[in-house]
Amino acid sequence: MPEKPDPKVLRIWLVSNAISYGVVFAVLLVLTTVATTVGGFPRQLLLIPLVVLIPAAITYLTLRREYDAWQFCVTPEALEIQKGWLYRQRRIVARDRIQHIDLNSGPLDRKFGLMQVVIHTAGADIGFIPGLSPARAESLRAELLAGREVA
Amino acid sequence: MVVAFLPRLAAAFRTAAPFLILSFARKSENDYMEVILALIGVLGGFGAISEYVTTRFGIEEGQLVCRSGWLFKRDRQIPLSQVQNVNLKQNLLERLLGVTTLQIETAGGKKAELKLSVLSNHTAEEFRHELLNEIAPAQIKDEVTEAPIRPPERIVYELSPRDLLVGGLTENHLPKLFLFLASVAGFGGVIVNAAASAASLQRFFGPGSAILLGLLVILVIVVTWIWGTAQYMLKYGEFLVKESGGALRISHGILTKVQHIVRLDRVEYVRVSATWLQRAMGRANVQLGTAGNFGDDGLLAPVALMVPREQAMRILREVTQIESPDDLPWQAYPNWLAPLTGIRVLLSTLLLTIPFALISRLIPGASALIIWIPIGVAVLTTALSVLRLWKAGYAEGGQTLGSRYGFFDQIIETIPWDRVEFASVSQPLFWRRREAFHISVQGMVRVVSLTAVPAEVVDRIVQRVKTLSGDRQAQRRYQRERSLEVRMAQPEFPNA
Repeated sequence: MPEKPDPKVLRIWLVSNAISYGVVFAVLLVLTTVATTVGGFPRQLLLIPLVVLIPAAITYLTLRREYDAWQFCVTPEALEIQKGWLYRQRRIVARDRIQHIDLNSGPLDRKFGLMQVVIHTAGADIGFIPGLSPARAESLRAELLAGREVA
Repeated sequence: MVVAFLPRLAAAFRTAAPFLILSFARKSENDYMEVILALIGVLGGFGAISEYVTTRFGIEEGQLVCRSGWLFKRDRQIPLSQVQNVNLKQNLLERLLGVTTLQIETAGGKKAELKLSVLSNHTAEEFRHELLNEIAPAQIKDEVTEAPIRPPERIVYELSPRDLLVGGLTENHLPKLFLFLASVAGFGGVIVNAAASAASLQRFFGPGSAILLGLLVILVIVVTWIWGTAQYMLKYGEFLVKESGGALRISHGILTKVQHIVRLDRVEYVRVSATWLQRAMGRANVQLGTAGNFGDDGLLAPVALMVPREQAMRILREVTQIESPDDLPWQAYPNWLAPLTGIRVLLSTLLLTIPFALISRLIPGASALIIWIPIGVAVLTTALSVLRLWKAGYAEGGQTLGSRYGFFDQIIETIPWDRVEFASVSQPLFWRRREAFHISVQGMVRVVSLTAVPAEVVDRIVQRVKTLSGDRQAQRRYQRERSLEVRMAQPEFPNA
């Protein structure tokens, strides 16, 4: 059965995107202000920080659809993660190739009482599932790591 | 353990010297800095020696154990089952002194898990031997004495001096040329001053300068080619590959001698490549990849160089015991792929580079011609990406998944299904109407990517990746069967 992250994850994405775009915007603003006032560059340079607003707006507008596209599915043999609205992505990993699973929760996740599940295979980490309640995160980990009597 | 002290002394000197020199340099100033610096230098030098003196290593109960350090102790244990490759390396100095550097590589991580330098040749060989002995999944033992039987190794491939020379000449040295030019001229300087210097060159040479310039270009190319060929010959001289006990032993190098020991059950990637000149001669190069990265020597281990293609496939079949790329049912990508990719690359490079050009025009004194640079770059990258996909294709085999690409220099890569860790499928916006997908299949480190395949192929591959769990049993049985033929390797260095 396909499952979805908690809808609250939308708000986490909103806040974290706002923060990261905000930081980029601020840094660019400072740089261009210094360049125009001290460095003697033309004033048009001050328009550059505004460019950041374009991807920010796109991200804001597509967030809902990105969320709608997000789903994962645990089958008896594999884990499948699907995401992306513009750029669709799918990851498939056989369950016995999963080496270990991390449960992460950053400050934003904790604010909303959510957790991230990060899945690792022997070589690389294949991805993460955001926005799970702690209970579901724990049970997902147990579920994925269970039944590996094939040592 | 035979002590080889001198190189360590050199290392100690290298550590200490900068501090001692600084200390002398500061003598005129009236503080105690020079004393402190000298102390640091001496201690550092002492540390370098003490690390050598205190290092002990060995194999205990299936674990590789290495303890070192005097003030700061380090105890490292690596399960032998995790070992991917073993590398032995000797540069000129080490060869004169009769010592070897040994590297043990496990999966993941950029550097070798364990590096033991300044081992005597004898110790290194013995250790390698012991390691292989332990790593081998099962051994054939003498029924009376219980000692492992050691039949001679089998030569898989040997590079003849003539092929060595031809291989060097037919390698693609253009990237080297580019790097060389960039480093000589200072790349940024070239971009800004290209127009100005062209004008001054014309003044300098006068009419007819084009011929002179052409000759200069040809001279530079010839020199780079000779230089590249010499490097190739030094690196791959005395190239020899042997097989025994489920492991390959690859040795090459004229000045710096390198030996790689590759466990065949860890091979997760095969690459057959040829530059266009080599292809015209019907030759190819074969390389294997594991999850380790073969020291600083590159990420893949060469198994055969400049070998006739037929023979390359035979070697691969023999060594990996699975199908070779020529056994695969190759499919071409759809016709729209190359042109569409070209358009995408063109647009994206223009989008990326034009802002930079516009900004750099704001710099006072910049030439108006600068706008042509991003356009040139975009056209070049587009042409390269289109050519790369021109004859590209993919293949789903019974035992491997393959991908092939490249126009001038062709590359075929395959990954065995039983080494696959996961798959990832994606669909760029452009392709939605065409119902094509991009899929990449990943081992522990190596990846094979198929650029544009129809949905049913994706479904088949995904199904295969999903059911890998079931395959494990079969795979283990296969390994056991193969391990029955396991034999031991024999010491190779002459003065061992």
